[in-house]
Amino acid sequence: MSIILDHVSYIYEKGTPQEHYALKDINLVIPKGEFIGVIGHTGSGKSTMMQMLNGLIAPTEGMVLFRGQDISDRDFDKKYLRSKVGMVFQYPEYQLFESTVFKDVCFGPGNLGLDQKTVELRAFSALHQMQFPDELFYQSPFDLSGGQKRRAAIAGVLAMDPDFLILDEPTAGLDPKGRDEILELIAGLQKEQGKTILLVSHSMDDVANYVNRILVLNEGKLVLDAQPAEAFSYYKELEKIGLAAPQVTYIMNELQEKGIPVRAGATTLREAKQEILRVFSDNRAKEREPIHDT
Amino acid sequence: MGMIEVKNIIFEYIRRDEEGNVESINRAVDDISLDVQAGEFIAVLGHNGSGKSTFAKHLNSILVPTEGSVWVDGMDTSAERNVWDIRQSAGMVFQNPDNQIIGTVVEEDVGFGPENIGIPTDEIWNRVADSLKAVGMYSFRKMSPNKLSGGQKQRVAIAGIVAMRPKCIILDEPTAMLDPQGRQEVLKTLHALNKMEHVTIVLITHYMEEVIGADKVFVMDAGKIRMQGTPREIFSDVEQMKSLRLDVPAASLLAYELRKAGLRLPNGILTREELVEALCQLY
Repeated sequence: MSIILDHVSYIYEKGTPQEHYALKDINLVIPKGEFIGVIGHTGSGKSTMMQMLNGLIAPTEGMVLFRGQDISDRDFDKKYLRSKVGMVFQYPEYQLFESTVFKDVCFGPGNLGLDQKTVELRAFSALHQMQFPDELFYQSPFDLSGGQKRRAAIAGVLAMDPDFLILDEPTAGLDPKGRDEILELIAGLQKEQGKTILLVSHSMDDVANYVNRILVLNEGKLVLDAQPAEAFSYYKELEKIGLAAPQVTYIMNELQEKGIPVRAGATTLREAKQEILRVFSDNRAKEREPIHDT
Repeated sequence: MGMIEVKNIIFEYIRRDEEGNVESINRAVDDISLDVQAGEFIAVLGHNGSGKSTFAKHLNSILVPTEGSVWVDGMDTSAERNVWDIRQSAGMVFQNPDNQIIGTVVEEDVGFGPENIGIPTDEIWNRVADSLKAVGMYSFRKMSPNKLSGGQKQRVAIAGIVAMRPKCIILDEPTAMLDPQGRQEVLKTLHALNKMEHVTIVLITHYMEEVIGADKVFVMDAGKIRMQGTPREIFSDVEQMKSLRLDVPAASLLAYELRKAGLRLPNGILTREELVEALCQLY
């Protein structure tokens, strides 16, 4: 059960002099269970594409297919789509509105026509999945810290039990530890429950640390669709379109340029560490070898 | 002379019920003292809820301390008559550029501040041109702010402060909502203002890489200053930074990990150039 984008374009202000493509001829298959990072500078079309995946905007050209059906079809059940493709917007805590956290999280599943008990069970389970502290369930969401509000807001989408979860910069404004905690929880949803995650992020390090596939958008076009090591090997091209590679990628490339025989493909700290240690221990082993005349 | 002098300040958020009885007291700033010299570039780090934004709001009299005192450019922030002068000396830039831009044309937005303090029109135009040049946005002066990227908008917001000719600019997570390019643009602008115009900068951020170029770093936790020093000193203590829910720049962390694994790298590596250099010497 994948989401398929087939020659999808979106045109703003069509038929006027300001007409321009926000998305141009996007072809993409998003299968279940992947952790996908979506990167692109401001205005590259990321948000437009994400909003298309759960039918908030309809493509001007082409089709978005969910379970083999065109989501723009008149008889397509958009409500069902939105429960299966959950969307967490930037700064989702601004959308908290109920008098208690628990009621707020119940709001989504409550609109799916489930009985009250199921709704509450789902809310409990969603809050637990986000490791939201039990003693705060009945607090007003407005009395929580920034990190807690963020968890509550994500739980509100999780309670819909989506198969696909789209998160637009879920760690913006969080401190480094808070950022790692949220990303770990999100990674857990993919590993343990097989949910597909689409993470829109400006942090190349976060993307490199968690995802198994990267989509790069520029001026409305999908310019790259690859695994992290491959994607970030194009770091010079990424810089030209306002992006970058993780810090360690630069370190590895610079070491290579200076003649240290590291493979430059490392994108995470752990990979870089292992690779540097490998090269240095090889080097020492060589020093210990007796020198032969050739 | 000190640009900012903070002496033993305490700030408490006090919640009251309908009758006015005190419900709870939350001490957000707990006995902080520090001095910032004119022309310094200062960074403040701290996890969410550590009190750094509350502290920053004391530096241009948005908040006044419950106890202790803050002096900005020789003026006491708790004296109401000083408020206007203090806000001219010390301008503040916030996280979200969209909340700070009011003009429909870039140059009008930048001119808003000087106009409000009664600067003559010719002088306003000079200041607008100068400040837009200082942040590298002069060629965008006739554009609508709506058409700008996040980093460009944030530079316009900074230009709006620069047009007030402040001696000091305080920035509360100015890059949190920007893409990597936007972040770099803003950082470069701040260092240029600091070096060329000798503006004192106080930068509050969650991005460790942005702190590397600062003269001095303060690390806050639970309303107190837990660490202070040069970036090199601060980022040498990886374990303490982690225990304060923070991080160190990627090059420092990699150097730390490699040292733990037995490579004899020097302590205090900050940038990737330094790490590459040190590894080359070792190889």
